[in-house]
Amino acid sequence: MANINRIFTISGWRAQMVEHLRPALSFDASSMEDYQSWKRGFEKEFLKLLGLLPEPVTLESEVIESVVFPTYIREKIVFNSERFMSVPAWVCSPRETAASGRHPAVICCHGHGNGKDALVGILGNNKSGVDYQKRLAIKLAENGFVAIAPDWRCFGERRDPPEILSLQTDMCDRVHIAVESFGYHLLSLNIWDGMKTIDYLESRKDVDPTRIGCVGCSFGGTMSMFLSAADSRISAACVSGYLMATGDSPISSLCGSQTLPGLLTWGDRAEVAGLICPRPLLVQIGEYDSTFPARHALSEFRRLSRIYQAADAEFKLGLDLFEGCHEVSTTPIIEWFNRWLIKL
Amino acid sequence: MKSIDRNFYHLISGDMQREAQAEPLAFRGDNKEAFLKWRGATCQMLREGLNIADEKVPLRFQVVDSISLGTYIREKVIYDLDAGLSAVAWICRPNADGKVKLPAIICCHGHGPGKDPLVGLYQGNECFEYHKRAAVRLAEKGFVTLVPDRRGYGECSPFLNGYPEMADLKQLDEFYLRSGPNLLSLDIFDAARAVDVLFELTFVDSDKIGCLGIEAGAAVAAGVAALDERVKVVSLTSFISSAVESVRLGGLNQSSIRIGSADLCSLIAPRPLLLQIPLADPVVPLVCARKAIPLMRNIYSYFDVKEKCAGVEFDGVLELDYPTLENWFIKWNELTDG
Repeated sequence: MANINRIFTISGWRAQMVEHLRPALSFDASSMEDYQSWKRGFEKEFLKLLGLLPEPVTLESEVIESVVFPTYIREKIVFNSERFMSVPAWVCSPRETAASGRHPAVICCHGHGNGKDALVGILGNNKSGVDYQKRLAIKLAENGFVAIAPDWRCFGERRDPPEILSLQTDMCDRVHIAVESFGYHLLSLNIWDGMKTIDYLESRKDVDPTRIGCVGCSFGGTMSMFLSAADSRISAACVSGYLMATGDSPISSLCGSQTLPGLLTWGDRAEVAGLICPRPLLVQIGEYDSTFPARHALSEFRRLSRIYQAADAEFKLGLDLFEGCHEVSTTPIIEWFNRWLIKL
Repeated sequence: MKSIDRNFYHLISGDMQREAQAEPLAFRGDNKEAFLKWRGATCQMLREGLNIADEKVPLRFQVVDSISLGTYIREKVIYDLDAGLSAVAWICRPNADGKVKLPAIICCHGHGPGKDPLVGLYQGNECFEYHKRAAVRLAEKGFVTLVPDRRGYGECSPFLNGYPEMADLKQLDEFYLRSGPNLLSLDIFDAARAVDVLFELTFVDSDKIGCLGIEAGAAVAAGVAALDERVKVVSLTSFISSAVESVRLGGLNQSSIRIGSADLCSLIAPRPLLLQIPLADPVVPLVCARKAIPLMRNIYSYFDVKEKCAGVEFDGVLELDYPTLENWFIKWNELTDG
């Protein structure tokens, strides 16, 4: 009988698919002309991959509460992002008004956990504390930025109670399936909410709409990267604890909030991050991050750096490889936004 | 209607009963004499509480694997803990000729797959995570590191991939409690056996033995350093807390002993003790860790050696802060030389 190699498991099938993967628009060029041509082509396909997006509605934003802390002001705000959905968010702003009256702003994208709260130092059970996102929104406000941290879909206040959606690890996957039957992708809907967050920032009198940044770690890194790629109103970005080839993620760590169906037929995360080029982008990698291991992250970063090189924008791509785990390193992030949103 | 406190959940009931059994051991004095008296009585009580046989079986130490990895040598070793149980450990050591005796450090792992991440391995693959390959990096700096699997972990584990869940450890703890000391007490006993191993190694300077631990491994490191004065320098990560009782030792067939982590750490005084506090620690609340540091420094001030107790906060999550840890061991090792 012939000896035939058969594969029965999804992980085995996926490994073979990854090995034989030849994305149609994988970046492989070095000249400015090639880069521009590639960008036009990939951007077009990327926008197609985002698929159906909701109809715009008026924001009807409201400030729900406002608390003055010794070093910053925290507001809870809410706005509508589509006909049947609203977005709650924290806004942390400096105590002192900028000389121009307008501050640069940064969208802080939360990762997995309790949603937006960790970015302003509120942990479970309403206790104050710090998690891997290290109260980044507060630190940015203390350094002169208006920092906004929205809840993404199925996190924080947008999470269904456990009797409707159990607190299992497949929560994102369930919601991904729930929206897919209406023709949407969960990641695209969250990108849409991110775009509406920018609309909201533009409506604020204390924000300079030409100086908007975006940052996030883990799933927050996914959001920061995809939102910055999709919306050029973001003028500087940081992607922390996320950049890595899709195929290097074990199947057990894939997540319904972080997937864009069909992406791998055209490119991978380096190509999506490449759409941010020539805008400034800082990539943070914890040397001991076991979720997004540095050796894999660096490999994808090297592919991304070729895009910035071809665009003559290498100096706008930063790498922060730090002695840490799956976490943000706040000081380099603040320095990065200082450099590109304040000093310039 | 009269309000009566009732509880219908048996696990909580068990906890409440255990809580009621004994007051935690806590130092309440304010001078050196009172501290020394308290320390003597507390160490005595802890040793009795561990209920571990005084007679030790021979180690029957064996090197089962040895590989030179360029900047260091890694060996897998086995030795006996008691009459019915052996231990598996990694030893990492510098590429030295063996003529000079080297300082050594016992590394106590935290939650995960056991000893392997401390040497940058997991199931034969490269592993970079919160233990930060500390055993390898210290070996590259001239230390001998001994990294045992704690009970229930790695090659000493009946659980899937040697990576126990919390429920698995609770089950193991209950198994041991049926016949004597609890799991933590036995882990501390095992760490003392690791010190015995270092005393047998000809290339180790037995006057320079240190110990480090993170998370649950820090409880083991603190316990062995508190009770075994052969341990001269200590580093504990994500452990110190002002919580009154955070460590439970002993077994249910005798009085269960509870002691706060700060009180347990104070037993290490006046030996050098580094307390690493990650600012974003999900295990020990920062506020509790911060409150404990002045208490510790106060104890060290009784011995006029405040500099030997350092509480170092760093911008991290549950992870070792390797640079400060390395500096700590090098500093106190060099001062011992002087």
